[in-house]
Amino acid sequence: MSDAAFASSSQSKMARAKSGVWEEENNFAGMTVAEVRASRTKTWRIPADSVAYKGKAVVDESYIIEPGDKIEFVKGQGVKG
Amino acid sequence: MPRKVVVIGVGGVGSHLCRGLAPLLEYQDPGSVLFLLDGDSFEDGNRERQDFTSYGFKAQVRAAELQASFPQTVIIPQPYFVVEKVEEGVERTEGGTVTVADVVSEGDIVFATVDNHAARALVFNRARELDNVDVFTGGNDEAWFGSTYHYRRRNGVDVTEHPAERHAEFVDPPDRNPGDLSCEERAKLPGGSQVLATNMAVAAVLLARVQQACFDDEEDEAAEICFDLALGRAMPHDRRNEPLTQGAMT
Repeated sequence: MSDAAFASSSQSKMARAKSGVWEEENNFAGMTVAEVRASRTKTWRIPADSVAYKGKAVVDESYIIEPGDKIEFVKGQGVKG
Repeated sequence: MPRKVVVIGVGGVGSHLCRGLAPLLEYQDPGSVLFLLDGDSFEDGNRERQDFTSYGFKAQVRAAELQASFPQTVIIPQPYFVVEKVEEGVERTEGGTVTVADVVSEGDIVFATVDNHAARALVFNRARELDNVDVFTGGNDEAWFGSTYHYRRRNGVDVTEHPAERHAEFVDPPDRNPGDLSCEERAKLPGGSQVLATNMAVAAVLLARVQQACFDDEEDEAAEICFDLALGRAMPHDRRNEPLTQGAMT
């Protein structure tokens, strides 16, 4: 595969994921929400019970991410203070 | 334009927040009224993370400290817990309760800097009954992690999302409002471990949000902010509702 073809293919898989203080644009398209969650749980400290959103809609863990999607694992509000 | 600002919870975050709010009101909008509500008292165990010069009800101690320095702002202490309902005929005493409807009204700027989701949800739900109001909340977790939220209503419409739209803790709070507990139950509540720097950072973010959104009248594109002092990272989350387009309503 040529560099240009790879870049085009890679670009078409780009989607965005975020949680708490973290945000990343990567080749998430084609992965399920559960797979993205599992890959970032430790570094992003995503709570196991956090709900995933696409825009304002809740998405299931089995949802397959599409190019351009923005998925958020909503982190609970800090409560101490 | 004189304003009415209400701070519910004058503890780890609220005690620092008030130190910034008082001069903001004094010099930007003289004649404003700052209500401080907290039914709890400053105790020796709070010293590590809270800011106070004497013991006593937090609302009263803080109001007395600030009033001396900011004479053009009316600072009113209310040493009460905020609850949904109070029993009729019960005389209000220090450390007692007051209803959220008596505290939060049209046009207010409100800070729910309490240490439980139940009382925060109460304040946000009261705000949803009003046409024009700004409610801010903020707190910390995991030592260095903090977050803030700004809920705004204008002309009866949510300009930013009610926090319950994404945050389950505001739908079904996992804790209880201290105002709904007996004195004995309240005394058993754990004080919690907190980091002074995180409390101060939450207060600073809240102060910046209210200055930008309410005093400078800027659109709030960062209604929710998360930060982690240990990592040196902060992230805004846009919670604005999309404006209704002309003809969208049938």
